Amino acid sequence: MSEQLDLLQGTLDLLILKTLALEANHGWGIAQRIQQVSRDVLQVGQGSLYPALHRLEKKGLISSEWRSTESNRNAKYYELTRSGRSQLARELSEWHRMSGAIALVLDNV
Amino acid sequence: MRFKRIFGRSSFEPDLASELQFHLELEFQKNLASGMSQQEAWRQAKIAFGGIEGVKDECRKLRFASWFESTSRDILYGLRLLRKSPAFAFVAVAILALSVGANTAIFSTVNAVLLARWPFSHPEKIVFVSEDNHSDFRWGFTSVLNFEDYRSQQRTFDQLALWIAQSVNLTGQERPDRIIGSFVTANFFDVFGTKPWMGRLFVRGEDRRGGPYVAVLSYEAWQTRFSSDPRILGRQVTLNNENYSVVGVLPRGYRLPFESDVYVTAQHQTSYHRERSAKQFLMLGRMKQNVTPTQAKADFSTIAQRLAHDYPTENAGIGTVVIDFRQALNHSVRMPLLVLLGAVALVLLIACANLANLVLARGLERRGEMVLRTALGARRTRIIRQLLSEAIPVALAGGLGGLLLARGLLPLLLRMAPTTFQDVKVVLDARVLLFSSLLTVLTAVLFAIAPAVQLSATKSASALNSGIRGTVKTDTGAQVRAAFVICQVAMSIMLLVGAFLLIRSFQKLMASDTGLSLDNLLTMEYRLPRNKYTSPEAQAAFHRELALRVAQVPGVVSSAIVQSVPFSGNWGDTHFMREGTPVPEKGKEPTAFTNLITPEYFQTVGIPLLRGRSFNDQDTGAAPRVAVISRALAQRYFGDQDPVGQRLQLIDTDPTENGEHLTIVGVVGNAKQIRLRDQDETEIYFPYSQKPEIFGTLVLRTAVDPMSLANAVRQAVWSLDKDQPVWKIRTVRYLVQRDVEDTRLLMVLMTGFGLLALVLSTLGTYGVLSNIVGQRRQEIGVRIALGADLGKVRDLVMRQGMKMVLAGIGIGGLAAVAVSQAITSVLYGVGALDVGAFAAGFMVMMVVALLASYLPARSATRVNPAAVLRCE
Repeated sequence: MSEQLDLLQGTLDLLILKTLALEANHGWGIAQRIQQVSRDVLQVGQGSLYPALHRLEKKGLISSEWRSTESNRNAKYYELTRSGRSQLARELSEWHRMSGAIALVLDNV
Repeated sequence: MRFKRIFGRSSFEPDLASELQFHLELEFQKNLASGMSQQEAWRQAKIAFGGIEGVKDECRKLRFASWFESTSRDILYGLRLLRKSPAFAFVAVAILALSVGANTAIFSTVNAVLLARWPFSHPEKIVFVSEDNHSDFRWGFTSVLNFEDYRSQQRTFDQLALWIAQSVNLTGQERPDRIIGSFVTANFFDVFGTKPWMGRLFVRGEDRRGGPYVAVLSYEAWQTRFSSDPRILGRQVTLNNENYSVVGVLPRGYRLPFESDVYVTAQHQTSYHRERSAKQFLMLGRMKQNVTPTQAKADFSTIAQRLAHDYPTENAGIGTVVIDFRQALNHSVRMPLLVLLGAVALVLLIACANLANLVLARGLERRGEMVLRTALGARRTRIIRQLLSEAIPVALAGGLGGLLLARGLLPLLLRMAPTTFQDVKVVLDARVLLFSSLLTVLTAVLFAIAPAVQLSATKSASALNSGIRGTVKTDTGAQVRAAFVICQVAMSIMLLVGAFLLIRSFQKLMASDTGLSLDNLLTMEYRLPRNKYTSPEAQAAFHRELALRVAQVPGVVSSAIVQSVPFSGNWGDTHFMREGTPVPEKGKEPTAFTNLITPEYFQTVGIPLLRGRSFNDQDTGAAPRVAVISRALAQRYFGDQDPVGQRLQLIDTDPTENGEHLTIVGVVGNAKQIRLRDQDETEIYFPYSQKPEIFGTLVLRTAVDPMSLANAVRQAVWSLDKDQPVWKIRTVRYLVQRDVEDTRLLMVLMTGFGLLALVLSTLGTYGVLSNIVGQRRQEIGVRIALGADLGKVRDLVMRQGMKMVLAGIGIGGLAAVAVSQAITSVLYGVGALDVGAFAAGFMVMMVVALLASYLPARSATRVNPAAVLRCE
């Protein structure tokens, strides 16, 4: 567990948006996916996941819907809204700029 | 915030619960798949999840952290901040309470007087119409015949009625009394659309000559005078010694005009004459639904021109005035109330500017906090909202304090002008409460918005730096605050100049001579029934006998009868000319007040006899007609000539007086007739013995407290005629006080508002300057360290203060010119541009402002350079 990192709040939002950009998903699915893709480095605690989802939904960046899963269970699925998509694009480019800049500094000093 | 029923919330809780439950189950299945036992898998899932209730709560807050919740949080935060600075809280609440209180008190009188609800449909269609040809309002009279022409020829009115209110004698009751009667045409109530509460009102034709003696009572008169007699209809009442039968009772609260007790038809009025020159009545009408007063005026002007053309002797020069009836009824208090309303609104604005500066100054100390909030992502609107919410507790406390203050102040205010407000019920009703609440909210926004916008605008990076180092040298806030100070000073100047104008008016008014010697003068009025005292001789004999009989009452020094005692509101006037001079052009005849007296009048009231003689018992109806004139009339129309022995000719509109020739037998000192503020003191006195008149005012000079004789005098009247009512038993001093009370009230209130404004703007100047000195401590310290002269340092600050004050005085002086022009109608004896008042206003402001600048300037010279430099 020691190699797991805590997520900054803004970063979690970005990760959620990115994950949902692929396909609609439920809370557990989103958490699993982030964990898998980051090769278990990023583990999203439920305590911050669900508030984040509700916050994003209130902001209108994602929307939710109750659907049946493959195993025929009822789950709350989230998906990106149109403004969520453009927000994701903005935050991604911002992130790339920022991380590039940090990398430059770290590599060159 | 636990409002379960907020929209959308109902499905939220179960949704959230099953969403989280679903998560737990998936986690559990994953653990199972990785080979854990059931129990272990469940346990691990729960551990991984953490506190489920915590998560739920977090989500709830996110969803329902509503505007209201954050606002109430801000308010609580504001309260905490206030508790930390009680001085600020106290000053702010006190300022607000004073200004909201003053505003509420004034508004509630405006509400009661000018905004009173009329229980009629479309009251704005009810207008008073007169034949006046000037714009100043007055009750202008017309004749019955003119009225009938207007009524038949007009096209703009649904109803046009004739009326006059006059006191009538009510006898046949336990004791004779005087009540207020209205003599009206039969359609009078149709103007108001009033329906009878009991019985009927007048019907068409009852107002014809020879029409029946029928009366309609007001509900109040029915209750108090006739003890709510359920069988009042058909009962006979004796009014002016005539028997009328009661046909109806009006609904409660209807007593227009002038608190009437009883209504009878117009032809029963004693001065009802079907002659065009007998202008004794007032006109009142309801305009048609889509007609404006301007259209009505145009309509009547055409008819008036025709009347003037057809009957030049009686109607030459007549014009048309159409005015809202409500406005006509309260025309005398309208302007003073509007002036006060304007003044008190200025006070509120000054208070707002003051509070804004206080909040700004405090806000600067909180700059760091604001900057930090912004840096942490708070949006500008959010910060503005926070600052506004923090103002709410102050505003609420101030508003509440204001209401309480108004409740305390109102009785005092009303007591200062008992007659002005005697017929109005001034209460803090729903409308007043609404007004004050709106005012409070508005105030909060006004005084908080500027600082909020200002503070939230600070750029984070630079402000973080400077804020942390505490060396903000130039900030736009200082300019904003200087602007506020200038505004405050300017508005204070407007109020101060206004106050000084009114103070000087009042001084002038009090210094003006009534012409009477006021002490120990008692008056009471009576009206003889015409059908009992039918002959002029009988009337004259009653007046003469009454004066003599009252003079015998112990304690009475002398007594006389006068038709219109000064300041009672009664008066008569006439056109006249010197005999032998060319007949003056119509409408340009000399006018003078007229009065009927018994011989001892001048001596009794203290008007000096300057030339010739007063009247005596030889001036009988058979003797040559005589008159006594006032000095003002003698000077204006006789110049240096001796008027005694000269002759006057009356050219009055009253047909009974027209063409009368009189010999002047004496000249007496001037006396005011209607109001102390009147300039016109030309007056002609006639003896009662030569003119029939049924109305009289008994005046008596007493050696003891005049009111203590009231009963003895009343008994003396009743010993002469047991059915004769007397009323309005008052001292002349009371009448004079009543006359000036509105001027005094206006002066007192304006002075109060001026002082309040002065204090507020002084506080404002002082506060801002102290703050500037505080901010420039380093600079000042360095200057002192470098050897600057302490006097120069002081001047530096003083100059900054006086610059603001002078700018304010300049702007305020210009605005005050406009203000004083607007209030000329309430001034007396001073011009709108009275140099004294302006100079006094400027001086007071300057002196106080100098003091307000001196204190911060002095503290600037006490800056310790060493301490300041060490800080740096």
